[in-house]
Amino acid sequence: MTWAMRRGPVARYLLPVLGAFIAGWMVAPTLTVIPLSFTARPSFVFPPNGWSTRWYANLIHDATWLEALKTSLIVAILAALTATVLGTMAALGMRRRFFGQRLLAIFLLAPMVVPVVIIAIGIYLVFLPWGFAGTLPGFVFAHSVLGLPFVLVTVTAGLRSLDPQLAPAAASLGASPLRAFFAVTLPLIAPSILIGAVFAFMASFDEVVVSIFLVTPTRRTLPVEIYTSVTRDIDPTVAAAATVITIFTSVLLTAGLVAHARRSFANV
Amino acid sequence: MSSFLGQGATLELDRLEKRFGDRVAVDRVSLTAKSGEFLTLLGPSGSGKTTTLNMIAGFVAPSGGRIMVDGREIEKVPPHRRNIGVVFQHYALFPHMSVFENVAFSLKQRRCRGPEIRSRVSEVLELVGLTGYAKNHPRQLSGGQQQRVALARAIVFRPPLLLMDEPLGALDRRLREQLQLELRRIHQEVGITFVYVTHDQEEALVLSDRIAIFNGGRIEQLDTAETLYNFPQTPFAARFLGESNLIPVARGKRSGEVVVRGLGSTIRCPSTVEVSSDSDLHLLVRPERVRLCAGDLAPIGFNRLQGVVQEIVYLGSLRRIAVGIAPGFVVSVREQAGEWPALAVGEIVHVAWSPDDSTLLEGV
Repeated sequence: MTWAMRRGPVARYLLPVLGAFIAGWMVAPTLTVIPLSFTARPSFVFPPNGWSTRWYANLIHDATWLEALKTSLIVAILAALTATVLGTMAALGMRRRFFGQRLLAIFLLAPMVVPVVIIAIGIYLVFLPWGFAGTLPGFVFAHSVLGLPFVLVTVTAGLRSLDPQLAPAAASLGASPLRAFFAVTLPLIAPSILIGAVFAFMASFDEVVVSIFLVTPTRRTLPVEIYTSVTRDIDPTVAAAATVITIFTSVLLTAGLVAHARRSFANV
Repeated sequence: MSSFLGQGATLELDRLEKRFGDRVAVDRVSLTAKSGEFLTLLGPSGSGKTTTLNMIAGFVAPSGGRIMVDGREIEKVPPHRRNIGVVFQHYALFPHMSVFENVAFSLKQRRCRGPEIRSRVSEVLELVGLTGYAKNHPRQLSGGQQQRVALARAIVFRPPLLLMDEPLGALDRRLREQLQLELRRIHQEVGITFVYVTHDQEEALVLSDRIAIFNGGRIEQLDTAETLYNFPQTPFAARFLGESNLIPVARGKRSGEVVVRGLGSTIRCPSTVEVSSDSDLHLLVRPERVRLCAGDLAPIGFNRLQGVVQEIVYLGSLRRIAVGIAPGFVVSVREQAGEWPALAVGEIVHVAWSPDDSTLLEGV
């Protein structure tokens, strides 16, 4: 007799309904954006009356949107790269116990806990006199700080599942520490690094708060452009942009989570 | 396997020491392993044998002393330049590499060419009985097969010295016995000096040319198995290798005589041993040297003590009988089963042994 068969009617019929309702409650507002993006008229009335794809055409042809998308992609890719390299190195360095190691870990993980607005203000006040506000390196620096904790967490977990005897084994076979790292450690933690990189990319790609502080009229990221557009005028192009982002991030995150789950199961 | 016949290295440890804070893990250990010898470091967990092995391999830096391979000091040489093979307890195979890639790893580090790598890998896989498994991944192999791969990987680059840290510890008993015999065969074929760590005395007896008994970071005794069994120098060595009766005694009035502590009876012992102090003396008699006899039928000249049969354990052809002499003082006897068929628990018997079969030991 399986567990499902032993449950009473309430659990068997009510729980799935309740689960579906809560899931719908959480996701529905996001999903309304999709039909809205196909509306025929320049309004946000839901449900839309009449259908068209003109807002997608608008998105592709409007230089402002394209420019914002390009900025977002470049920033996210560079920030993810920076966070991945630094986060991986930090995870490797913090395998060994040393004085102040826990403090350093808390410090590096802080961007996950500290309210983003606080980080944003801090970054803004430091970047302003340094001339980093509104520049590409500024965005990349700020966003890589936000992405680094994700890499640190996933790579640390990956290293923990590694047999500690592998490095000594490689050394006894004649591999220098550097070669042992590239031939043994790196291939084994590559999946963890990749997952961390995906999360770091996401952390940058849909980041709004810090970006709002850093934007200039000429350099805007996509989420900031969406925010500005919604508050400024009624243009369903924003719904089209939001739909593109939603689908893109959903696919990326699902792929990352599936890979992570596979790996966790494989290790059991 | 002619290409494997090399010269095994001579390994010399000179007052090797390792301290972790206040704790002394290895306390001035000195020993020499001869070229081609199978030397076992035997001791309970925490006795310093694995730390000693890790210092030889270069994974742990010594706090003092010297390590010499063929007369050359290597303490300052990093592990990847020591050219010493190591087999780990949990195999430590590279999970993302096939058997072939695992075994070929050391040859690639040494920049061997493809054809040479292939011929040497297939040669060593044949030696360990894994021909045909080259393309498998470690997780597809059984524990015993994985350990064979680990062994092949550690000897394929023909190191003059091979270190093994409880390599059979994770395997079940039957497989362990089978692999012990194979290890012996491989050792004889390759001519490499083996240094082997184990806490299993039987394994040590089967495999080793000589055994170093470790206790509390020191070597209690280093000898052949036979010498260790027949002439242990300390009570610890006597207890650790084989079964033993250690009777607490004090120095007697004359040389060749001791008094059983707590009992007061005088018994005879080999008079050759010079005893410096009379504290902590033990008389060692192996259980198979002790005889059971009724009443006064003990042979002339034998030591004799009276006791009560407490336990009889059948071990197939042999049986072990525990005879209680006094509270807390039990003599264990091993004899052919069926020599005294009617013997029962609670019966009063005498235990007897020749003084020549006993050894007087100092220490705890």
